[in-house]
Amino acid sequence: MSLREQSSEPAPRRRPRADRPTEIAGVAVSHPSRVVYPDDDLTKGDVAAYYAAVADWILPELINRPLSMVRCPGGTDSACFFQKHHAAKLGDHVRAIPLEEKEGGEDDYVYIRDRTGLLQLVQMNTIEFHPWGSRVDKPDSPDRIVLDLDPAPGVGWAAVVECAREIRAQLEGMDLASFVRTSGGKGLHVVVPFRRGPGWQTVKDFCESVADAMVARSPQRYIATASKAQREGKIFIDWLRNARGATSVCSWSLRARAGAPVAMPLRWEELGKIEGGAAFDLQAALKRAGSLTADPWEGLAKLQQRLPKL
Amino acid sequence: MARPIWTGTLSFGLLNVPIRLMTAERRIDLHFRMLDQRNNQPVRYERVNAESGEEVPWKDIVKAYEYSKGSYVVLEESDIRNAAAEAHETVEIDTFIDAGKLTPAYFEKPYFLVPGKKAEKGYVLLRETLKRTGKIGIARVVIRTREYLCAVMPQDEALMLVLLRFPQELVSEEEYALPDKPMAEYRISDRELDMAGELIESMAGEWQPGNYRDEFRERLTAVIEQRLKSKGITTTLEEEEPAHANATTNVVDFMALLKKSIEGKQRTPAKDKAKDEAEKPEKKPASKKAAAKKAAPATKKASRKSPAKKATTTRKGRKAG
Repeated sequence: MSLREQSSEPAPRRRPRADRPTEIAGVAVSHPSRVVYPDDDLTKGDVAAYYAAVADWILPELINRPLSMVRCPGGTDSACFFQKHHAAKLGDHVRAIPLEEKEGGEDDYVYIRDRTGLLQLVQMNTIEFHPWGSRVDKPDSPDRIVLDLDPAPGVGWAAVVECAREIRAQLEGMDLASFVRTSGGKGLHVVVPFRRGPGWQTVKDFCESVADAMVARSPQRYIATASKAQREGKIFIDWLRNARGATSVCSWSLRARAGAPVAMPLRWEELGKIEGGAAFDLQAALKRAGSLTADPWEGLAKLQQRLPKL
Repeated sequence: MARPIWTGTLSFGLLNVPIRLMTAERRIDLHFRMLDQRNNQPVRYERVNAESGEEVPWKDIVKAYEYSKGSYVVLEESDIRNAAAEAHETVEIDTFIDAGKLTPAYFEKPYFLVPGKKAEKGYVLLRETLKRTGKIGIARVVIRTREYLCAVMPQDEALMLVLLRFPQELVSEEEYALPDKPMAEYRISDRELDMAGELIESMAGEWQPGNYRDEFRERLTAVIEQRLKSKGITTTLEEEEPAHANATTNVVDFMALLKKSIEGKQRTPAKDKAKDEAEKPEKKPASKKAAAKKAAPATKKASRKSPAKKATTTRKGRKAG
């Protein structure tokens, strides 16, 4: 796409032409030519086409889970906001589930069941998808944990990879298989699915203890508190997303950042070939979706592992 | 020279060599003391009666063996004394075996045998003969009224005595699922064997023990020194007072750390499960403060050892999805 001449209008974006709604995967996507990633010249239509193309890959982790979204009605370089509550205008395939709020009372949260729901959310300018660690039929019984490895500025990628591998090894020692994905930012996520049973407090305690144990073994390399001041030169093992109501970005989701990076699931064996947390952008992710012969997280659905009783 | 553990003889057949038994290892653990952070005073332990809560003086404490839950057999001091071996300062070798036959799993703790006055000739004769014949002596030794199985082996200029584990203390490899089929069953090709061999060759080197150091302890020492320089008092690290001889402060065992941390949380369950503190990801600055506050008490809880694991059940009898 070539650059058009800048008009004298105050709006920083190019004026879209012939911007009629386009149908993508059965959903009418309005303003498809609106640029949402200005540095990368990617439009809302590109985002919708992306999600339609990777729907089969992204849906298994996304469906039937309460989810939060990062929506960017003005594009990723203007205000994006984090939404967790349902609204009727989101679409008829976007479902609501009433859930108890932390402060008391109840409110409707969002979940989807199919590709149409996914695209309807994209039509409402959703860029990022962040599901809960539990499913809508039993929101108080989590079935996965996510450890987000977030390096401080200056920490090398090799250290993040080593951290992920070390966590994997320790989890294997407890007979827990784990999975890895890039975060689409600077880090990695280690994901552990497990059979439902333990409640949120137990799961949260387990995650905190895993992070604390990693820190106790290598206090110069890792930290388990969110304090930015103490994080210098270390990797923050973020276990905090494993509480009720907390979320992590899901595999195959775009991130609302320059470069249009994607949170990409990997096989553990591929980890050595990846250069960073944003190694896959929208185009690379599309290519991968088209060429993968097997799910990098193959076997996850059939796993019947339980968190250890300690 | 340090003090010997005892002075006695090394005997085999009818020969006796006067020797001194000396330690061969040095514990370099950092020891920590528990302090009450409110006024930095040391924490001490009391032995209290589990039922009345009153302190029990040492003279009223007896040892008992719990043969089934809640049922005990009390042992008198004399019982223990009689079962203990008589202290006799001898290393009695009863067999010589090929050195290669003793696998490393048996080795437990090393000691040096140092020859007594004018005993060099006998000592060197035994040492050199063991080297030439490639044999080691299997012996019994009594140290502090406990009898041990041990091996006597030559090492450069010394005769080492290494305490051995009793075979009953070793788990047999049959208890683990180890691959025991012939190599062909695992489809290992010749090429793979060659490549593995080359890889190992390329990583081959001399054994240089000086290259390896306890980095955890070094870093900890560095932190302590730094802290001393800035005159801070630290309570971040807490360690149990060693309750028995084997307690160390080198917490390198991940599972032990994990269990300790979780037990610490179970002792003081924070909230009702339905009212969890969910960390809101969208309000990043606020949740970071809350997380930092929460993390600080959590580390302190994690270091407490619960004597009896509290059985907080978390499975609500739901059928697993």
